[in-house]
This record gives sequence, structure tokens and C-alpha cells, in this order.
Amino acid sequence: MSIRRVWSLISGDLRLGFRSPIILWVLIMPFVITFLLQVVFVALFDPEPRICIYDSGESDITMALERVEGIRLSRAENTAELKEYIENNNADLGLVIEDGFDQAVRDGQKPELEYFFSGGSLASNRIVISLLVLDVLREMENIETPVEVVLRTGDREETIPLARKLIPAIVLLVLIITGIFVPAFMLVEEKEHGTMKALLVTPVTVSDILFSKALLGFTMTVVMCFITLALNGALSGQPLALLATIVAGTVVCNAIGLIYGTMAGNAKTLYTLIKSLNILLAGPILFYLFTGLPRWIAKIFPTYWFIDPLYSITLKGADFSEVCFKLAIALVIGILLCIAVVPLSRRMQRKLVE
Amino acid sequence: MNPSLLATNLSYSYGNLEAVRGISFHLNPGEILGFLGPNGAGKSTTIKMITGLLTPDTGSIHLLGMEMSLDNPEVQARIGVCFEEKNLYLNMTGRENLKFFSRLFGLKNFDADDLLKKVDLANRADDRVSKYSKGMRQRLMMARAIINRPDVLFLDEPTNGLDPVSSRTLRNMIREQAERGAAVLLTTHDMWEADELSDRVAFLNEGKLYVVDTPDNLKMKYGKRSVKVRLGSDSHVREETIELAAADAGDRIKELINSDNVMTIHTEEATLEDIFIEITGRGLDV
Repeated sequence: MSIRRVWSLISGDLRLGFRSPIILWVLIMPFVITFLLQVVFVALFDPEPRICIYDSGESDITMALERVEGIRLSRAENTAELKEYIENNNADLGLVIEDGFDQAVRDGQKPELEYFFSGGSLASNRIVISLLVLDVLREMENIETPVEVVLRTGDREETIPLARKLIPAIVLLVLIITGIFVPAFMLVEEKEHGTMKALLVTPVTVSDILFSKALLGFTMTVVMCFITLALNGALSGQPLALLATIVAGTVVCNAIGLIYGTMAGNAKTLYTLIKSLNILLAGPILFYLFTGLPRWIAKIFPTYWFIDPLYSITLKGADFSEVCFKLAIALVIGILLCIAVVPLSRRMQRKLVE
Repeated sequence: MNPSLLATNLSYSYGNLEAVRGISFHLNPGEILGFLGPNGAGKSTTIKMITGLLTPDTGSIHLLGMEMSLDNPEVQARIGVCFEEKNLYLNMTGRENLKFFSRLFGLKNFDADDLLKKVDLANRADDRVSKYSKGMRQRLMMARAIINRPDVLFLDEPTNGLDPVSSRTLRNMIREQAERGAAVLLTTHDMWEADELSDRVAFLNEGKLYVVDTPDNLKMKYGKRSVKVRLGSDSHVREETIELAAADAGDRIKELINSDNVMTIHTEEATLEDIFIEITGRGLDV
């Protein structure tokens, strides 16, 4: 194997890469998946409480609510506009604050506060906003709350929000698509277009070709995984552990990609292989989404050995020493899969020219 | 002179099918050897073995004094191969294709434009190959094959299905390569092309090598060696064939010429195709 030839092959692939739909998809995938995740699991399933206020004076309640984080506040110009907001479910709850309301509260007149709420809004959001408004009113009257509420995240897996629970799944998706697709697709493309045969009658060897595809796939996968983690706010304070996990995962996925690429003679066979076998690779994810399932079953899957460390690091803050054993197993699996590529590459070469 | 290529007792089977059966031949520097045979004769399999794509079941191949084996970069750096199938990078331009391959050969200061000019593609250098015609692709394949100024050049049906202009361009390039000292192995089933280009021809059929010799020697050996004379007057035209081996052949030809009735005289030289059929018992157009 020659570094110069490998680099020449990679530079050719890079030049072609930006003209390939697969590579383009790989490059935009972290952004698309993160966007979808944010829309589906944050905006739809875990949306922020939304309040709309028509304030005919300059109430302290409005100003106090504007300072609260975690709610979305909008203002209506009049009562009719506020009602329209609510009817269109653009806010969970509407609040009409008449001019002089604050003074009336401070004078102890117990003025009436009118709420409007949308039938389509979440009950939990209505409660959150109602309680917030009551807190603000108490502050106005200088009444201390009888208790102090402290929010803590539980240690149990069930208490981790679904959007965060899905982060390892998204990274696995990136690992599978980039780590497996890139080397596999590039190998198959060379075979389909006959260019591999053209390469093999130059000083380029099969090992050069396989290594160049794997190296390109490896680099792209590691970069894409880190971009995905960054986009999802999951770059923990354990960079070494995270890097080791992504590297181990990438080695396994690249080796699988090379196996697929050497086995498949054309794109159709490659897609069949991916469709039939990738479900097995993504299997461990089920055990994190449905925590009641017995975890030992997940250990059967080769991907478990880097998905579990990823889960522990990104969601539970585990450090390298806690995950190194599992990562070592993942690396061993990756190396064994790489060894399996050797006879497959010989078979590929034979089939290519026969 | 040491041969550029020495193939000894090569055999290869695809399962039960014997594609090449114990063939031996050599190729000298600056020589063009035409490999002639119908489809399925074993020409491409032989080239695949010689270029290291296939490992022969038996026999040995010495290229440029080195034993050829799978993944032998040292030998492969000194050969050029032009396949029958157009295996170019379609999403690269013509120039990018050549530059990419020049890097694989480790060529420094490679001038792609000069080579593109030689194959009449200079004005399409920046077009993607997917937009090239069949002839243009074949010319680019030829340019790619000679990118490293190979010592041995393998050409598998290089002009197959090309227009006359593209064919002529490629034939001229093949001659140029031989003139500069490259040994050229050319497979074709175009008899005229083989006759025109080859210093020697080899007849291959059903995996067996029947004969290797110069076209002239083969014609001498297997041709009819006769002269056909067409004689005519105003109302009557007749033909007479004179066997040159006959004792009175010279006198008879003289006599006919002196008769003032001669319309045309043709030598009855055998074509390579006639000789191929005579030797192998099979035509080339299959």
C-alpha cells in the first residue's frame, strides 16, 4: 500500500464526491435530522407554553412574564386580535389586562383577570402559565410563596426527555449512513462503472482502493458525528471519551461498509443488503427508547458496544474509564470485520474480471 | 533482444469452461502483435492474465523481465491498458480523468492538454465525459492508456464500432507508440486492421493459439498464389486463373499480355480471414 496512491484516490473521490447525491446527502444529513428532531420531538411533543397578552396599560405582569424563560409570549393589539390568536391555536392561553389592573391589585380591590384558552392547547401548558401568572401577582402584592420549588433532572432513564434520548439514535443513523454508505457506495460505483478495473491495471492495488474508501468514510463519519452532537447540544465535558466512542463506532461501521461494498456487485444488491441487514445494526436503539426491554439482548448487536458508551457519555456524563471496556470490544469487532474484508476483496477482484 | 512480454503455457478456466488452453507467445519491443479471434476465443482473458487482473491456472508471464503477479505496482507502472468497455469517470471532465490517472502513476509535470490535443479532444477538455460520444470516449481511453508512456501497451478492440475518423486517429497513435519502442498487443476481429497494423498476428480460437507469424508469411504459406486475368473483346469477356506454381506460368502470362485482349490482371492473394478460416475452420464474425 502506498500513501501517495491512497491520497491520489481520495482526492479523486473528493472531486467526484460533490457531484454525487449520496455524498451530498451525507453532508446535509446532520442538519436535516436535527431539524426534524427539533420539530417533531421538541416543537410538537414538547412545545413551550405560549401566552398571548392584550395589555391596555403597561402592566408589571406583562413585563414580568416577558422576563420568564421557557415560555413564548406574544402581544395582541386588542381583545379581538387576542381571541383570534386563541381560536387559531397560536397561543395556549390569552390574558386581557385592563388599564389600572396593577393599581387595583395593589389597592386590594381583587380585580377580575380574564383568561382565554384554546381547546387545542395542552392542559399542562395552561397550568404552567396560570401558575406563572399567580406567582407574578403574588410578587406584585409582596406575598412570599409558601414553598420554593427546585427543578432537578432525575437519574432514572425514564426522566430523560425523549428529544435527548434520541441523540444516540441520531448519531447511530449518521454512523450507519456515513460510515457504511460512503465506503460501500463508492466501491460499488467503481465496480458498476468499470473504473475499478481501470484502476487495477495502474500501480494502484486493491488494498489502496479499499483503504482510500475506508479512510474517506472514516474522516467524514467522525466529522459528521461531531457536527450532529454539536447541533443537538450533546458535546459533553468528556471529549476524550466521546472521540474514542465515535472512532470505535466509525471503525465498526466502515468495516461493515467495506463488507457490503465488496460483496455487492451493483447498487441494487447494495441497497438490498442495507435494507435487510441495517435493521439489525440499529436494533440496540429500541432498548434505549423502551427501557423496559431486557438490556442483555442488546449486547448481541455489534453496534451495542459503541451505542451504549455514547448513550452513557452524552446523556449520563460518563467518563472514559467507565466506557473503555465496551469500546475495546467494539474495536475488536471492528478489527474482526476488517479481517473478513480480505477474502471478500479477493472474491470481488475475481468476480470483477470474470 | 529480450522480449517485452513472454507468456508460457497460459491456461485459464471459468468453472468448467476452458477459456485459454496452454498458449505461449512473446512480444518484442516496438512490435505490434495482433491477436485475432472471434468472440469467446480467449483474447480478453489472455489480456486480463497478462495485465495481472486474473491469475493463470497454469503457466507464467514475464513482463519487462519481471514475473507478473496480482498487485505488482512495479510492472503495472510500465504498462498501459485500453479496455473494450469504456470505463472512464463519467462525472469528471476529460482533463480531470487524465490528471487523476497521472497522479496514480506518480507523474510529475504531466501535461494533460498535450495528450488531449493528440486525440483531438483539446476543445472538449473541460466537458464531463458523460457528454462525450462513443468515439470521443474511446480516444480518451487511448490517451489514458499511454499516459505513462508504457513499455507494453495492451489494446482490447480499440477501434470496435468507431467512425472512420476516430479509427484512423487511434491507428496512427498505435503506430506512434510502436515507433517509439513500445510493444503493442492488439486484440481485434477486424482482419483489415490487423493486417494494416500488425507486425505479427496470432490466431486464437476456443482458447487455443493456432499460429503466430507475420501477415506476409501467412499469406505466402496459406494463400493460393495465383493470378486472375480478365480477357475480353467487344462481345465476349472471359477469365483465366494461372497458378504461379505451374511450370509454364510465366510463359502463359506473357502470352496473354501479348494477345492485346487483357482487361485486368489481379493477384489472388489470400486475406487473413481466409487464412484464419483455413487454419481454425471457423470465421471471425461470431
